[in-house]
Amino acid sequence: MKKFRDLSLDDKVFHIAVFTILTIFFIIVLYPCIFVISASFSSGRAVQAGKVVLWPVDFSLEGYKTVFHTKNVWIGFRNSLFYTIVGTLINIVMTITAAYCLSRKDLPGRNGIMLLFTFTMFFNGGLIPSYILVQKLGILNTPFALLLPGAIGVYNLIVARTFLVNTIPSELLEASMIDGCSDIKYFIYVILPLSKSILAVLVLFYGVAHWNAYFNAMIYLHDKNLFPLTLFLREILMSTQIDPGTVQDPEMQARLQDMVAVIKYALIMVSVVPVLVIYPFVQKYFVKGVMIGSVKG
Amino acid sequence: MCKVSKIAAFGLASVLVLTSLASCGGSKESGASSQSGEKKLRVGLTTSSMVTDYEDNYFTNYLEEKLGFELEFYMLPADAAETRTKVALMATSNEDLPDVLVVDGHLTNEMILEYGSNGFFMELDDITKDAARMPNYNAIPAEDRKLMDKAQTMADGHMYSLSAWEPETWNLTPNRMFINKAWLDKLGLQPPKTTDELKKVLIAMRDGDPNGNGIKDEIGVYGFSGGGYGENTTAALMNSFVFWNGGGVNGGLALDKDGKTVIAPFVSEEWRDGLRYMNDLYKEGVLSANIFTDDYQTFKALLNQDPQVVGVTTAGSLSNWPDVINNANYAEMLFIEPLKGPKGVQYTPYAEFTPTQELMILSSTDKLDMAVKFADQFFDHDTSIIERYGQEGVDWTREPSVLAEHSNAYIAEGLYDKLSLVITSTVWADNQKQTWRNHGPRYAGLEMGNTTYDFSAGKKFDPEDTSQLFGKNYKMYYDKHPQKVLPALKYTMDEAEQIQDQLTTIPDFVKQSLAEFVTGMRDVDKDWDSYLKMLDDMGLKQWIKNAQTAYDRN
Amino acid sequence: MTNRTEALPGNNKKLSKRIVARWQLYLLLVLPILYLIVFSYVPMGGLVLAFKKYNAAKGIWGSQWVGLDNFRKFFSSYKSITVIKNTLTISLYSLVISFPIPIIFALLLNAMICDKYRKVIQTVTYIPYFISTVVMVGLVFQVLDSRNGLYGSLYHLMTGMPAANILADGRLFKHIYVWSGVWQTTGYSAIIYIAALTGVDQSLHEAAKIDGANRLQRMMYVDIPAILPTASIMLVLAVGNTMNLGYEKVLLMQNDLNLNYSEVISTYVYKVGLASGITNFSLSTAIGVFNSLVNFVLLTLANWVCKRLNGSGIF
Repeated sequence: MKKFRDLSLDDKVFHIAVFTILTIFFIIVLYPCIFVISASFSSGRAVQAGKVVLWPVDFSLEGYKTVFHTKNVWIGFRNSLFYTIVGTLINIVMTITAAYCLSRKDLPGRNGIMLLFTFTMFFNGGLIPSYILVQKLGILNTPFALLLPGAIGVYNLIVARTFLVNTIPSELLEASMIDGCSDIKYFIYVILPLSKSILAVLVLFYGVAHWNAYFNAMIYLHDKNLFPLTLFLREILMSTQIDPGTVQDPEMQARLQDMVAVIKYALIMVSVVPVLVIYPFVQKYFVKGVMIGSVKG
Repeated sequence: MCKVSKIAAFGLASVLVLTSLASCGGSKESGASSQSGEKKLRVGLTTSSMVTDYEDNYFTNYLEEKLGFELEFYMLPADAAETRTKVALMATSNEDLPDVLVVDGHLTNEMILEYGSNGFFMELDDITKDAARMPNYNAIPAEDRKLMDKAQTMADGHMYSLSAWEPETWNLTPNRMFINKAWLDKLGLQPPKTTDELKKVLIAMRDGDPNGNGIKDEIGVYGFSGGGYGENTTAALMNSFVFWNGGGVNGGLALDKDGKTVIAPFVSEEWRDGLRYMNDLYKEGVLSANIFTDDYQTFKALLNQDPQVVGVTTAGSLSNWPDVINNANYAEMLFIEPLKGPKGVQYTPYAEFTPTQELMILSSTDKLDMAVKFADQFFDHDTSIIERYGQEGVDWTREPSVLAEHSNAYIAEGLYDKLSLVITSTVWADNQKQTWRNHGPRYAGLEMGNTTYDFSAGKKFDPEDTSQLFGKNYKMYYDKHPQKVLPALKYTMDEAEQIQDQLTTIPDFVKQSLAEFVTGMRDVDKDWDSYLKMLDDMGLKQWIKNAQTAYDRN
Repeated sequence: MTNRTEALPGNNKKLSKRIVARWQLYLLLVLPILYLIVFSYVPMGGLVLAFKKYNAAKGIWGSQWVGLDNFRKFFSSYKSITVIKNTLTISLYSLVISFPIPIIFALLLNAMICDKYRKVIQTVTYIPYFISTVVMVGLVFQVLDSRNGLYGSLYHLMTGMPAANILADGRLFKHIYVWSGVWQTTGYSAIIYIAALTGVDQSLHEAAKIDGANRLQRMMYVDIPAILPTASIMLVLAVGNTMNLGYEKVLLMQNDLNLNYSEVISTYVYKVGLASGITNFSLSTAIGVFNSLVNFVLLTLANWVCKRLNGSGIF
């Protein structure tokens, strides 16, 4: 990296502008993060009364204590971890395989297959038939109900295919074919090593989707021991809203809010930690110039 | 090589997690489906985020001991809309179902009717009458039981659910009005009794800087219209002109003076007068537009701001002032009666106590006797107490010597002689495994509900304590409504479908228009006719017609 | 060896031969296509619900046919014009704003010379995506509060006047909705472009430098063309998502004074279900079909345009 003072005047202005814009944006986005952290370390009373603006008020670890003493949180955490890891693994294998095949311009019928996939982005049978399908497959209330439906995200498939089409030079294919490489071998030994950054993106997209998913779990599971963390988190977040039409005793519900205010933010913190931990690992693969060596070599 | 080891580590980790999960889940599964499963009753139960454990739970164990068989849970979501979706899916698939549902009132009457009439829920007409099968239910005093039967009877004349009968007086009139007494004293004013006096007081508060910080930051009337528990101040003010239940029950429809005709209060001239009054306050700058835009969080924050900026507000729960006993802002507040309007109207938003429908037996069950026994157990006196308050001797007591030491606001007001129960633990506000948080049917008469005292904070009842308002509320608010009030209506499937659009759009439109008239975005004089015309176009007549039919059937 | 020329596109061997030559690719596709059939096309029959009156006891196939009744019900509703208009307004506005910003953000981030700072920014901007909508909307209200919020305080500080309540102005709803979305999701949405920028051949940058191009010019002529294919596909996908405006955030942001501008299709469907007490699967399926049709047409159009301009599209 060049030293800043070696740059031309144009570039200096440019970099100062970049630096300024990004810093402003950075500060704006930093705020909600700091708020959640501060709220999680504040007393429930201070949070409820709106006293927390930037820094913790009435420093308190009550929220974390409650969260860590709740069995459901641990069960949920373990389950979410499992669904995320295994689910992402399935997603990645399926998606990159399909994306590779469909990125091959010499595959007859690839546009038809692509259309078949794309069509399902828009039209799906909806809740009832999906539920019946899951039940008929015998995977209702099992982990598979969260792992199998949605094994390929069409959106991600399109993203991956676009990446492969645009970053893998067609000369590579020609060269490999001349070397007698089969389609599968080409995929495993040439494509995969070159796709680290898109794989990283897919891991992130799918992983995050699994970690945040709650609807399928809500619909397909009824055994508390299988619930992911999001279901518990949502229960907590939803329980702060009083709907007199459905709540028997709003006075009691209102008092409950004190409790909820204490644990809400701590629970968010706990649920964000894993996605924060994984990001730097993923970022590592966003390294400039991964292509150069291979293309020239 | 680094890469290989990483992949291996990743694979290993996932295998570990997988096996650990499989072993946990597996043991659970096998336990559930083993031979002894025949003796287990499968309960579809709406969960609560505050219950940490349902298997190792005092109430579960208590029930199992009383019933002589075990319970197995099929968890339903805590959220009402989600429970409805899930029950709808269960009804569709009709396989692998629980035997009974305990839904915390999450299913609407229309849903119960739909699933009942098509045979998914079992009809309970005869079973509830059979004293041999449901002894506890039949032991309920006839007067109350008749009301429960009526509440459980859907529009087709049949019963598909069992309800929780727990009337009380506190929650029925949530729009309790508070005025800043400290400010009144400072300005040398008396608490207002009429809407005109309120206006004078508010103007004095606006100009007199009663919070003494030198800035004109006093708000006057504050609240938030989205609030579900008495925070909608405009509803309280409107009731000085015309009775309006606030829009929650029946979308705000009411009964005419004859007690027979269903009317829409929001098309009346009195309603228009109410709008004029509030618009006047708004123009004077003593009624904040924030009432219509703030959410619960900002509402609470403003209520608790230091220095105090709120002159008048309404609230159902004192928990809007956290730690209310020591809350400085609340200490300034005075609880006052509903205001009298210019024509002497003095109502408060009120909705009749309506028992929630709690338990259904699924027709598909092959353990009907167990299911009925389970359902009936909830109506047992002790079970009804334990269900709500937890374990005797730990969470509550009825030891005569302890009862004699305590009192409560109702007793202080002379409504009852003595307590029947003292709460001794904070189980209701905790993460706990003592109860299911009152999910399930129940029978606890009015006296039962009003003769308890919550000693969990370790503070004895003090009649001087300004946060003890139960008795005052009963005296000042409970009877401030027309003699006959429109009960929660039960529509037939066809009726409900006809007015589906009205039920969605009209209550929203009324609230929206109220906000617009009050804040002057629409003119009460010029735009009133177009407002009526719009309601007409939206199908108000059809709605009232169907409501009348439903009411007449009652 | 013999088939090496067949591997190349555009040759004119017989179709059957070309298919046989690619048997390995078809083999790889077996599992994904099987998945597609089982989990997407088998339940697709449920779409008929849009033309039926759903009855739980009779199931999807046993329910009564009602033709276009469900559609008629929606379009004859007092609110249908308003909600369709609002949905389109908010969605398209959102597209215009939320689509380019992550790209610009990724480009700037890519040009940042301080590596460590870049990584910090990248990580921090990605976090808000994980803060629940309920909490995020609460924060938006807190910041925009005209009395105590950052907006109110700053306004008061600068003008000495009390700030107007901007949440009371329905016309501002779309701005608050979209820009709070930018606040929350820019970092996350930028990831795909950040990844795409890593694919830029560094020798192009070197060559441009030798030609005397400054960093801004290199961004315009090297970086942007490099992510253009990705960006155009993302745009096509975003256009195809126009009608899918989720209800959760909108519902949380609604108040009595902005309903004319904030009621959208999804919140309307949600409320119909809530108010009538019945989960109306037929109506929601019908509206879903309507949305999908519009989306599909939009996507196909966008894809066609993209193909004309770029030479490549989704299909």
